[in-house]
Order: sequence, then structure tokens, then C-alpha cells
Amino acid sequence: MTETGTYLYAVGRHLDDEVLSGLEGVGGAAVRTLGHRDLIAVVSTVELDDFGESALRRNLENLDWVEITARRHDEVVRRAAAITTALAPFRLVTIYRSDDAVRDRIETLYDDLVLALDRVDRRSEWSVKVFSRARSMPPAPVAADAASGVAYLERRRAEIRGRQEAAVDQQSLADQLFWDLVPAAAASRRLAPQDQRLTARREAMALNVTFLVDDDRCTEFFERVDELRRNYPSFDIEVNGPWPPYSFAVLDKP
Amino acid sequence: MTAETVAVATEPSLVDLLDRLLGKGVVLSGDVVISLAEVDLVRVQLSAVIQSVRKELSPHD
Repeated sequence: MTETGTYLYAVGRHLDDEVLSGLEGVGGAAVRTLGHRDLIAVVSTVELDDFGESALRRNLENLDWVEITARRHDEVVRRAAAITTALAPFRLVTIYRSDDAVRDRIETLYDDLVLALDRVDRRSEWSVKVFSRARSMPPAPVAADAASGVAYLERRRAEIRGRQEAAVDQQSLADQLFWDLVPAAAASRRLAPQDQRLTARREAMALNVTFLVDDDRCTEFFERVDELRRNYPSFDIEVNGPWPPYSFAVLDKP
Repeated sequence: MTAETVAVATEPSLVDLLDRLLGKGVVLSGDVVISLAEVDLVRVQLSAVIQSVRKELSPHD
């Protein structure tokens, strides 16, 4: 018989088993819920042939597997988030040996889980990415003796210096934009700007931030973003969400 | 002003998803902590995954 484990998606309050059961989990088994004290864990059974330690090492090197698993995980978490105000999603591929091991874990983490759930209750995560619009540098004034090598080098140096200063200016301007948006959110977390090859955009990403926003202050948040779009015309601001509070309910404790 | 007028309501990109599901910026972080069983922590290198994400999404390279 194949060995199995219990895959943990999220822990929340007031999760209705009926809505979630029947949903397909990672690896194909049905999603279930496990109660412990006043908390409910969203789980499904996985085969250790696919989700055991050595299998994971192999599978995590396979982008197709990672994508399918991440999207299924996200789907289950979103469905759960849709029926409760307080949900703490767990990281991708958090797997325990048994249902009892999940309950033990919840017992150990109980106080932290309650804090995390209080923190995200009635709040959602919104992604804000800020791109520097590609700006062409104004051409340097052409001196009368522009044809001379010295003048050319001078001009080149000035151009390079100008570009470096512009980049520094853009970054501090982006930081300023970030701080302008902070008061409209309950919490924020800066992520690493994504590589230009990953975003497939011509403009460099100056900011990759994620905000935790009160559900009843969303309009205020968006209005603030629109205001910043007007105040910072050199930036393109992209807002994406709502996300389940992935970045704000993660428990980093082992 | 409503959420729909501001937010992009498309399927999230894999990079955005991994940025969040792995708990750290995927471009920066080299590995992810996987909890197996009660206490075992397994660190798995994700560099290969990131490499292939790049390859997949990059027009040239």
C-alpha cells in the first residue's frame, strides 16, 4: 500500500466543510477539513510517492509540476478565503505524516495562529508593482567643437552620469511613493523587484510591494493609488488582487 | 472608484504566485523550507525552478 501524508493548505475560523469538500486538492485527492479547538485546517491526503522528501526534491525542479501544484494550492486557499474572514494560508508543500500530526502542529502553533488570524481578519492582500517608464535622456547640448574626441568623451561621460543620477532619483522617488501609500494600508511587505525577464516588460520594476488592506478601506486605498498615479507621472503603477493574505499570515517559526 | 476599475482581474502570474507561496521573493531566495512530518525541515534548492521560469518567459535567452 502506498504511504500517504496530509497536505495542509490553510488554517482558519468558521470554515464550512460542505463548501470545501468535493474540491480537488493537489495530487487529485479531495479536500477535507480537520477541527482543532476553535480552528479548522484545510487539508487533503497526498501520496508520499509524489510528495515525500525525495519526490519533492525531484518535483520542485520540474516547473510544470510546480505550476500545477501552486495553482491548485492557490485555488483551494482562495475558495477557503471566500467563505471566512480569517484565514492563515500555509506555504506551498507543507506536509505532515498524518491528520494527528496536523492537529499536534496546530496545538503547538495555537497562540501564533490566533495572532496571525486576528491580524488578517477582514483584510485582503493587494499587490502593487511600480515600473519606471522608459525615459529618453534629453540630448546633451552639442558644443561647437563636438567633432573633437575630447568633446565627444565629455558628452558621453555627462550622459552616463545623467543616467546614473536619473536611476538613483527614480529609486528614491519610488521609495517616497511607497511611503505615501503606507498609511492607506494596515501592513506592508516589500518583495524583491522581479527580474525584467520574468515580467517581460521593457520598463524596470522599481517597487514590488504587497499591502494588507482592510476590506472596508479598499476604496480609500484605490483612491490613494489613483492620486499617486497623478503625483508620480514617471511611474506606471500596477495593482493586482485581492489575494488571500499569503504574505501576512505566513508563520516563519519552524 | 471600485476595485474593478483599478485591479487587473487576470489569472495571477506564476512568479507572483511563487513570490507569495514560498514566503519570500522568489527571485532573491535560493531555497524554500518544507515542513515534513513533525519537526523535519528540508531545504530544497529552487534555483533550477527559477532558471526554468526565466527560460520559459524570456523571449530570447
